[in-house]
Amino acid sequence: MERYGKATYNFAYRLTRNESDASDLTQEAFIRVFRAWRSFKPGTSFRSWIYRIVTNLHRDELRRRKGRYQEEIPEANEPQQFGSGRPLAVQPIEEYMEGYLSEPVSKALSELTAEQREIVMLADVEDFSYQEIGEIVGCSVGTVRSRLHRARGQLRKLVTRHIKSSP
Amino acid sequence: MNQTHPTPEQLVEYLHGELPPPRDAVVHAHLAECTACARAYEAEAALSELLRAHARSEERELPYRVVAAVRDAAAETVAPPAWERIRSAFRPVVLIPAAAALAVALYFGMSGRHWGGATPINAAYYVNNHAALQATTPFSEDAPIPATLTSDDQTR
Repeated sequence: MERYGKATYNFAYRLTRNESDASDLTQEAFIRVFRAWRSFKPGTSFRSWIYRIVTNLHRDELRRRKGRYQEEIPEANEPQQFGSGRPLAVQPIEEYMEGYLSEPVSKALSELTAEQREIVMLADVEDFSYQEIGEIVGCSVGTVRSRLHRARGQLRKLVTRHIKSSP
Repeated sequence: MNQTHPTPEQLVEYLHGELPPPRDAVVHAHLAECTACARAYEAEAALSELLRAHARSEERELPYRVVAAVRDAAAETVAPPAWERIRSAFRPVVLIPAAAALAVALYFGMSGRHWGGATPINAAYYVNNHAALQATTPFSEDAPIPATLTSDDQTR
């Protein structure tokens, strides 16, 4: 808990975008870890294991709240072509992050589907390999590739839109 | 220049270190020569950095109430109810070694009364014994005169 508690809580927060839900998710995940400790295979990644628990709990919660977890990615989430729009690379990200980009990125992440948010966070923030992501979210490496590509395309589109519309 | 441009998916895989080494080397060499692909790659890298920077900016400490709740739940998991502990104490895997240990302890405990341990000293026994010994020493002042030197012998 001392080692993985904070990271797990922050991952849960990035999924839920809500402190209360992130707390509940983290608490439930660690309680399940204690109860199922004997099923943990030595030599495997504990971080992957607990993230998988968090991801599954989050999906269960979404199903409970919405009736059905949205597995399908909307048609509008098709990947954006390279070169279209304003390339993010030319923007000074670091200096604008705190005051200028934080809100557009936060809004863009909130508008992604839970599945898309999961996958971009696992790949780009948590630095898991595609193999590990596949094990966490329960799909093949090929599916991880395609989902990640679509999620990043959608995220880029949303971030660009929110940056343009921000005052 | 290598004219085989990597696909957008391959650029993302290159960014994440997911390409097989030979393909990774080809893309690496291509990006050094192709401005358009280099810009596309930079856009992907910028998006990743944007996400990381945002994650860092909103990083939070784990609330103490979560830690406390998990510890409480863990304690309940680790310490089963009293009846469960009693029941588990009578399982053969526990009971047999415990009975064996008890039997060994009893054996040595009982036999220790005879063989082991310090025997209590009765001081009066030694004093009385010493006095009796002194009384029977032939050359002590208090020693009784040997029977061979008595008048009975002289008369014999």
